Amino acid sequence: MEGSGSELEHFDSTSSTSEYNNESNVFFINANVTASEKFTVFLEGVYSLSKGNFSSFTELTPTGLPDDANISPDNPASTADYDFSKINEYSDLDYAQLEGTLGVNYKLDKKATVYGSVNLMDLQDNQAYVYGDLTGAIITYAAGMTVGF
Amino acid sequence: MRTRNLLMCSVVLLMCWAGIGFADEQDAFVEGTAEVGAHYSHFTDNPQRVGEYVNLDATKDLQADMILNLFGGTENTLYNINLDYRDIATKKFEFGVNTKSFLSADFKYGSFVHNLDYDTLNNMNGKAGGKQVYNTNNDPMGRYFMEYEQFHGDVKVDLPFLTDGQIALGMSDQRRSGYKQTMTLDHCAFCHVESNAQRVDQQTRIWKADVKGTVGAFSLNYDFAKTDFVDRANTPNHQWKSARHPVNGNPMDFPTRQQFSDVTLPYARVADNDKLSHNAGIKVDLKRAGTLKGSYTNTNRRNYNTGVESDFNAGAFGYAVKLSPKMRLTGKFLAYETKVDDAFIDLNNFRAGDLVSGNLNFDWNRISSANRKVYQGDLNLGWRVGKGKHLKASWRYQVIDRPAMVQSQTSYLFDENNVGTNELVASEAFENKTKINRIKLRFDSRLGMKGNYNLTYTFTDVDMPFMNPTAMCENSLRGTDSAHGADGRMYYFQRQRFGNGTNQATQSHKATGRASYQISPRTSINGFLTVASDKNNEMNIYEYNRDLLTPGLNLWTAPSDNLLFTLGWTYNKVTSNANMCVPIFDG
Repeated sequence: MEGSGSELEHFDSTSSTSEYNNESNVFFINANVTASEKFTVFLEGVYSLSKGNFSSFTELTPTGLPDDANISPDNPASTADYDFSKINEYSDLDYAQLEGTLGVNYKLDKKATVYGSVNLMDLQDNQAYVYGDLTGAIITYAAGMTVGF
Repeated sequence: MRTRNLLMCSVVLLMCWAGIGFADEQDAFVEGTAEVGAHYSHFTDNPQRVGEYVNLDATKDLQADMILNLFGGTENTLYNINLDYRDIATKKFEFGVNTKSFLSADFKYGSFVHNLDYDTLNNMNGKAGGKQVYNTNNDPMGRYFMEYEQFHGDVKVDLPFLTDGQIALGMSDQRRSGYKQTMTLDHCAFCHVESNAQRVDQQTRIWKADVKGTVGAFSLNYDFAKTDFVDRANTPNHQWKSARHPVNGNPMDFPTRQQFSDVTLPYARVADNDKLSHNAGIKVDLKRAGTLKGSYTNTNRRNYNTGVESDFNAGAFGYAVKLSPKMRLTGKFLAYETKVDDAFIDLNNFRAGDLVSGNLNFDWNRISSANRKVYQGDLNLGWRVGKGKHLKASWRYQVIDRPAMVQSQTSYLFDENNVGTNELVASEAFENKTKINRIKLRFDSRLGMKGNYNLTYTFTDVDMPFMNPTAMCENSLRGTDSAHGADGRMYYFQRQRFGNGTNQATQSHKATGRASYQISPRTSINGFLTVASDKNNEMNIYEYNRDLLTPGLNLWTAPSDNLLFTLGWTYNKVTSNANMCVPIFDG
């Protein structure tokens, strides 16, 4: 907002440097167990944990501006008592995600195999952001037959 | 349930199992696998992100699966067919044929669904009509997704009168259709954000023709490509309300400070465009004296909505020579220029009715930030320092000249030497050339007969990296100041920001180590570690830092003939910083 003449009322800007921390751990496993000549079990899984957050912006304090200074000419009750202590938390991200498949194969003969599996995709959103709570899970059951020729 | 699909797949499977006539001709053969099955999916809570590439329309319903991998041929011809069908929107098909004589062809088709994010706008819930941001969501159920379909085909014909002579013709067709979320923002008096669903119906087609061949010591190639993009969906319209003064709400006082008011205009328009490119290359074999390479590329793009065109021209030259049986030197030089048409920004005069300190003309000629001239030189030395030991050293020097940086660094302020007039003077810009020196060392070695490792270190020094100059933090203008116009007023455009901001480093160190080792015939292990540290201490209000730590470990083991495990872990930690400036106004 502009002021006029010798009474310019543009107060200043206040700045703070903040650290952004991004951290992730990803684990995976792939296992194949041949239980018998005809029967095998397989497991595939990926588990990931990821976080992102800003450190505090608490250094954001307007310089040369008293806390009780009136900052709006049309609202006498407004003051410069700003509080930036929470804004760094707004964009925090914290996800835990699991994707895994457990399945079995059974050989009917040298050319043919039947199979069955269950797949789980699970996301836990521990810090909902502008897209809302993204927590969700999808489970898929599959079965069929494979023939080599 | 797609009963008909499943029945058809089952018939194919039974034919395969029974070995019914795929290879009747003598010398012909066919082999492969066929798989038929079904799957059923269901979800809980919100499936949009966890199932980002899952066709949610196919969940909670039994779906037929079919996979067919077939490879066959005759004495002179090989072919392959690959099919992977998961649901009506998630499928792949490939067909390839290669004749022994002169012709080969490959065709691929694939489709999948990409679920998109939905911004709930819940963070913009101020009071409607006041000086606070608030929203109207015109599509509160918001489900956004794209269906992708891509076809690619190419045919290659050998040219028998040229060594390695060949003509290749190719075509790609990619389609994106679905709905995405788009938003409009009304004038700041309302701070009113509206969210809508926008139809997307886009198609990108690429036509390619390449020819290559070798005559004596000279190998030549020429590649041509034409790309066109069109969005057939209707561009949405929005009615922007009459602008009002943000403090006193006066509708008569504000429109002359806006470029539009009380008007219906299109928004979120996607421009149709095309691209034409030519690339020619030459390679000369100088025998013991080494190898010379050169190439030239020209690309032209046209935006059909704005009429703006851009040209890209690049030339490259390279030379490689063996200095000794253990040492090889290569040198490369690359130069390219991107030039986009300037755009004249025709603005309404600012405060057109104020003939004392207003009626200011801010029309300007926009130079594209994509414009640049780049010169790059590389020297690479490879040296076999011992049995199973290699050392590589490389040096790169690059200059990037961006004319738009001069413009973005320029402010236009009232002339301090003529206080009281409305004359605007341009500030002096900084340097607009970025100069990069990069040194890279890599050492590879065996770990006996059972392992190997390599170490890489890269140091990069950048003079004047790309940044957003004078982008943040403002000087206090409380009280009196001489930097104002004829009536002594202070306007938005006069606010003098002084802080530079960037996430580009002036100095960067990066070290990586990788190793793999076979512990026993049944167990092997490999790991890696990357450490990087970037900093920029040449800005005027803060020092930028970015540190990276990424270790990883993988283990493969088969404790017995019946058990096989692969285990892995990767950790990634990035710490960076940024500066935030909050302007404090008088309301």
